Amino acid sequence: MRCAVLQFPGSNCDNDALVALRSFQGVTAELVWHQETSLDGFDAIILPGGFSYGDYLRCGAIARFSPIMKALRKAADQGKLILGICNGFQILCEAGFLPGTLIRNRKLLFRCEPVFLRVEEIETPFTSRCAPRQIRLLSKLAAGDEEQEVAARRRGVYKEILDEASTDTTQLFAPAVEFRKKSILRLPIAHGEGCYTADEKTLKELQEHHQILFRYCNEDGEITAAANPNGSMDNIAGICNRQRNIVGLMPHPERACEALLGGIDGRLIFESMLSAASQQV
Amino acid sequence: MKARVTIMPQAAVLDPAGVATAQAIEHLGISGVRSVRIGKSIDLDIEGVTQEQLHQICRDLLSNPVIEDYHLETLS
Repeated sequence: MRCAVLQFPGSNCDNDALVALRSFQGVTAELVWHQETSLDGFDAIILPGGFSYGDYLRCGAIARFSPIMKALRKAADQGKLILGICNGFQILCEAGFLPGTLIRNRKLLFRCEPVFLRVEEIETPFTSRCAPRQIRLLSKLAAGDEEQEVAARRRGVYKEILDEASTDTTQLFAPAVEFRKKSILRLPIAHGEGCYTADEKTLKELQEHHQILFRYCNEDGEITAAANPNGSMDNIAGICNRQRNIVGLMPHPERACEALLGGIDGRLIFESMLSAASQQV
Repeated sequence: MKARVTIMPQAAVLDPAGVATAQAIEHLGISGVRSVRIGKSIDLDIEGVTQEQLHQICRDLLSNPVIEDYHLETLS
């Protein structure tokens, strides 16, 4: 499995993405400079966060014209999996890979904090591992009994469900576990322009074709105005294209791949993507 | 020849910078400004660029048609 992490002038989450990808078994990940013209041989492509071209003009507007974007279009047409995170999401929208756009946060605040996301669609290459059935099994085992819960974790039941490849037992105690009962992820955001905006027709199409994958919610999974950090329409945090091989989201899964860093929910998105990409090969 | 492109957020699109500025005007002690919309103005120094190409620049790069409208004027 070979993954590319595109690197634009001003990308700053490129190495985080690289480290996150390399933590999965059997994955090689490489940086690809924006002046390159080919993405042949890569199974999945990540557009990382940051401030490409200093966010000049509009976020992502100039990156769209980088030479690598032609290769990205080709990869997209071949059905390869493409994940845009934060600034990567903005670039995908500007370049027309995804509908709508991201504008300045309501109230102009740069929001940098963990948020809860409800996974709205499980049957996509990017969310298959977020399925609630795995979570039900987990909660049934634990059944709210603290002692039993700890015992279950020790027995490695959690490990099996959370991350088959993982042998790091510290991850078994991540705060993520409780939230997964309802397919709720806890991921960090860090953006000033993440307010998802589209015209009414586009929004309706997104809903009709089940393209809204992640929505901001409270910790009980309810979609509320208070849980919306940036004013996004419909609390949208992430969407996919109609073919479902391209996803963009504002939260940072690559920053939630180590328990030590506050959570491992990001791993579910990468696991989903990597397992889907390996089936494609 | 010079061209000036004015880019404005569409009426239906929230303009938080404009809203914040309108509030600041009130704090300045001046009432009666009902709303503020903030856009940008871009000057191009051009030679041998057709009107069609100018519109292409405006449409494909300088503005995002999802949220913005542009106005192009050429000044000699």
